[in-house]
Amino acid sequence: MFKNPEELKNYSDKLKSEGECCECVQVLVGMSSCGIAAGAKEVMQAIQDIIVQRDIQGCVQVKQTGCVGMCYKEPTVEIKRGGESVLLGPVTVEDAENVVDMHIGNELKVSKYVIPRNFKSCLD
Amino acid sequence: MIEQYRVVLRNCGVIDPDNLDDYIKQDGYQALGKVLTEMSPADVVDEIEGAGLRGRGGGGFPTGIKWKIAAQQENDTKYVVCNADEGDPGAFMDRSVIEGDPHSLIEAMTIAGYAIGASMGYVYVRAEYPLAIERLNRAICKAKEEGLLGDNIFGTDFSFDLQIKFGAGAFVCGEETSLIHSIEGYRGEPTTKPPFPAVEGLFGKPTIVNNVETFANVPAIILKGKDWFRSIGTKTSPGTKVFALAGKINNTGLIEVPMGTTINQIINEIGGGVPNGKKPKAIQTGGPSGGCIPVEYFNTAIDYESLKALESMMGSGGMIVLDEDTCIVDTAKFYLDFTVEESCGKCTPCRIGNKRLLELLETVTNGTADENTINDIRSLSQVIKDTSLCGLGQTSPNPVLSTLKFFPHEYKEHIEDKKCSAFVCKELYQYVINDTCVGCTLCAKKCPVNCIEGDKKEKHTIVQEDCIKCGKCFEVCKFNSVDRVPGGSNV
Amino acid sequence: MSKVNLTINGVSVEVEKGTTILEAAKSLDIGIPTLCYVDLEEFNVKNKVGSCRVCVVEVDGRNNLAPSCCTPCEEGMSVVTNSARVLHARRTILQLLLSDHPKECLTCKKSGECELQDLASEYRVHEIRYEGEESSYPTDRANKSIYRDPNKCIMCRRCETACNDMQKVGVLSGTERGFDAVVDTATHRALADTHCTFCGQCVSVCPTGALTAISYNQDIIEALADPSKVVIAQTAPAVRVAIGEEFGEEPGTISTGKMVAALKKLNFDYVFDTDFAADLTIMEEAHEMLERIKTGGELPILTSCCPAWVKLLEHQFPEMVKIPSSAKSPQQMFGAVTKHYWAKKMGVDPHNVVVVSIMPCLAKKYECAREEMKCDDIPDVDFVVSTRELAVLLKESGINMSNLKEQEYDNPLGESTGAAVIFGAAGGVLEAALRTAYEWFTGNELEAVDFEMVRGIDGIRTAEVDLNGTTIRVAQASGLGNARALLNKIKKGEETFHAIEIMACPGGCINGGGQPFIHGDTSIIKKRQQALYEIDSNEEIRKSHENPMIKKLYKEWLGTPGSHEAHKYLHTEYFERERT
Repeated sequence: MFKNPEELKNYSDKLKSEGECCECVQVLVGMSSCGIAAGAKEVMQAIQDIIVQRDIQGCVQVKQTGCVGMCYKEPTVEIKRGGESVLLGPVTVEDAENVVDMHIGNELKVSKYVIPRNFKSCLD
Repeated sequence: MIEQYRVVLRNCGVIDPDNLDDYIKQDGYQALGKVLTEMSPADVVDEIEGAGLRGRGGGGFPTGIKWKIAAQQENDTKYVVCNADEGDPGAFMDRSVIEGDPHSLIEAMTIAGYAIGASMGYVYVRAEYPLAIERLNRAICKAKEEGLLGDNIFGTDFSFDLQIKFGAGAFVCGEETSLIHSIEGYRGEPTTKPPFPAVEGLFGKPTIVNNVETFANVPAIILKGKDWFRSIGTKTSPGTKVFALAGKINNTGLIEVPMGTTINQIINEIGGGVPNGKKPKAIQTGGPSGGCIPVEYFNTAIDYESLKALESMMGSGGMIVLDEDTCIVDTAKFYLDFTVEESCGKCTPCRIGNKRLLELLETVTNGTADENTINDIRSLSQVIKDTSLCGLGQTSPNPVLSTLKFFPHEYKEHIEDKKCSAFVCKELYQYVINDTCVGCTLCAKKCPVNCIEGDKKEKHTIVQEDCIKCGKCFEVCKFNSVDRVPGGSNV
Repeated sequence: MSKVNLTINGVSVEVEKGTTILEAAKSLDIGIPTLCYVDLEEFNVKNKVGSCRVCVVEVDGRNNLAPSCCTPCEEGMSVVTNSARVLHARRTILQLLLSDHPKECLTCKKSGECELQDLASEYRVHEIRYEGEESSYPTDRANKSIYRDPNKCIMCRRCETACNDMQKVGVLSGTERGFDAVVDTATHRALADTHCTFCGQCVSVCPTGALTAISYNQDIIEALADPSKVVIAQTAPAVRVAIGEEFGEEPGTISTGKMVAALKKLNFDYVFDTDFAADLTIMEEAHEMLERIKTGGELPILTSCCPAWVKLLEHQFPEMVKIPSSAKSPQQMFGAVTKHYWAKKMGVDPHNVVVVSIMPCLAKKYECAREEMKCDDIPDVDFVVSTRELAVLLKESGINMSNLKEQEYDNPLGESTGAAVIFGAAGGVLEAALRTAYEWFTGNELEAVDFEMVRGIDGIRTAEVDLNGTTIRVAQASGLGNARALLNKIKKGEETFHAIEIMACPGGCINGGGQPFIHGDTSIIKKRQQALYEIDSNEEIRKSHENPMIKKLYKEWLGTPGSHEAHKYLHTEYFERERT
């Protein structure tokens, strides 16, 4: 319960500073209707399974997100580490293992899955 | 290389829509906080008006002015309505925003409520968007729990509540008076304006109706200021526009670009060009209310005015790329067919006029049109535009008129030569087997209606009366012995 | 009210703010055609949905044309009503309407009365430039009163406004969409399967042949030609002040004598008057009312002469189904008396008596076919003819009513009082009942018989009447929308009354669904009303219980009001019905 905007601002700043930990990996799976229709739910599950298999769940967080707008590359997965990120797609269930190993395990910045990001956000 | 610039889609694909913390981390609800503690309602209206934000649902009416009119009405009860009845064929930006960033809509509507003096808002969303409804519902509950929505927001005197209303998928309910009647529980059909909803809207009370994309701009404008917003886009159309890029284009999807970006930049630099080495012919914008802009005008910088000058309109943001294999008359017919289906049927010109207009177009595509047809089409189109009750009817001939203007030769070809160069209009071409046929019988075997005759090792022939023009024989022949040639039953 | 100034076709005019362009043009005597628009001024009901687009005009500075019926005048507006663009648009709209309309004008029931036909003629629509697919909907004549041909519907929504806004019955509404859009019942049920009351107000306002009455004229012609039948006409009070309009008379012309003469020319064996039965109804109803007041019975007592109102009650207020007077309506009482008293007296087999009612009403057609509306298995009434249909019967027989010499009703069932004739106007039944109840209750003679405070076609009237120290509260509501509002108040206990008169049609039977079309001119209803009160005031006997023939009827046959015999022939019951 936010009693005033200041409380909210402080909370927001706190969240921002917590996100700075450079060890944590965030995996964002595009889970809007379009992504789900392309199989994102299954892909998300597959990635989670492999992360458990690889026993790296301690430092990897798999999350859903909305549509990044690239229908032609669905399902899309974004992997964020520290301040950096790679956007991948299409990632199928079969690709999940590859993707985890290449982009989480080996921290690759380039692969056949990488989509060049051609947009900026007003929040950048 | 042009880059997309995301204001509306700033959080889509970035945050978990079900996680309020994610939104807060992106400065979420800080615009609402600022509004409630540092700005008067009039300040908010001024900021939006000053930013030059225009309705992203298609019409481009200045949002600030709409809010100002509603704010000026003396009435204890007013409403904020969000139009999420996205109906244009191929458009899905509203769905993406609600699914990917529901809190920004809640925040924006609450800001609007504060600005005009409303304490209740409705989101009118199509029932075909179950995930959007689900996420928005969760976001509303969460926002209420955290004191960001509901009674005494941020501990202030201001209270605002939101309710979701489901639309049954009628395109006309995107028209604001129809939408209002639908929320009220009546048949979704428009009423004459004036009175405008901002004066007399939902349940007879002053009401602003804005679309999802319009609202999604609001928190950013409040936080970053009107001057920042005006620095994006063009003078008359500040800000960005989201387009749903579809059709004959490599990179289909949602894009957000500053107003003033050219069609070429969108098609080639963001869209990755037309697939299979084909040439683009036109883009269709504005859906059933818009038109087809030919490739000669692809250097046009897109804003509300420039598209209108090209007999099209911004619309809600569908942008469909047509390549050289597209028949332009058929395209016009497709959109008109949509309007005929989706007309509410209330007024004569839209109910009967559009049906007759469609029938006239059908004569063009089936080879029965004559020398008067074009005149009839123009004359009827003008009456439909002149006399229809709501925006749906008033703009419904646009796809026809714009294609008539830019592609008169294609109409002429259909009518005078009984020919469809794109081989789309089935009554104007036929498949014939030429002398290179070796009688392999493959086409006859594959023909779904058994209309190919001929003995083995003899030249085959197609029985034209039975042929359904599926093109199977044309596809399967290994000897290029099947030709597609102009001609047909009405030719 | 502030004023705005504008010009129409170059002529300046000042009007009140809120005035539409159509109204402003009218004040300048500039004609603008309309189809969907209708203003039932006296009943405060307007259909200004702006759907037909025939009334479009050019407004300077507007991109498109404006529908004049629903566009308010604005300061400085410059309007042109007859530019080439406007005329072309109107003609095109008419062509479009006709392109999806059956081309059977010559054989259409509405031919000559059709507003679309009139406009097409006015605009010289000699060709339909845009032809194509035509709608095809099933027709509905599975009831006794109203024939629906949705193929002739032009979506003007007038019937919807009448049914929903005015009558608050809510049976008709726009359904489907696009080219298939049409006014219909929910889920396309037949009217007979809905809670339609058959009030016929939809038929009254329909500009085309989409809603018409179901006619029994042919049956009547055959009965009249059958020598084995004794064919009796009874004429309802409201018919005599409206039938003249069909023959070019001024609205409000009293045509009683000429109508009787015309019916005789049609070869009716006897021409009697429903007014006689109206007096009889008062005897039974006033008796029942006083009984209830004296014995603490259920109050208020509600009148039951209007079958559309009774049907509304049965569907919408089933919990109140025991409150109306159990007295049959005058039409049904008349039939019962004719077949079971008069026929016996005349030595005629009641099976050979055909009772034809001339009624201002379409619900009467439904009423006479109700299962319980018979005695000894003989239906009280055989056929109902509306005022409009009587005109057709007369015209096709070459009878010009206007030129006939007046004739008297036959006796004994042609004798009536002033109290009976006012049944035709809203408040009349109540007034007639009060005239009798007063004298019966107080035992004194009523000198001032005019109960002006219950007269009125404006919806709801309430009054308190002093019965020599006992005050009774009475009310009348006309129009089913008003009836519903009044009943809801009673249900909630907000108001209490001793007696209430309810008529389904706004203004009462003078505005019945079978009356000559008024084409939106409700001043005609007022004139008909005035004519009925004029007849009443000129009558020598103005109290029902003083009708000598009524007295004789009780003496010879029924005994007293409320007797066993009276109950058998003159009373009925009501049933709870489903809401659809």
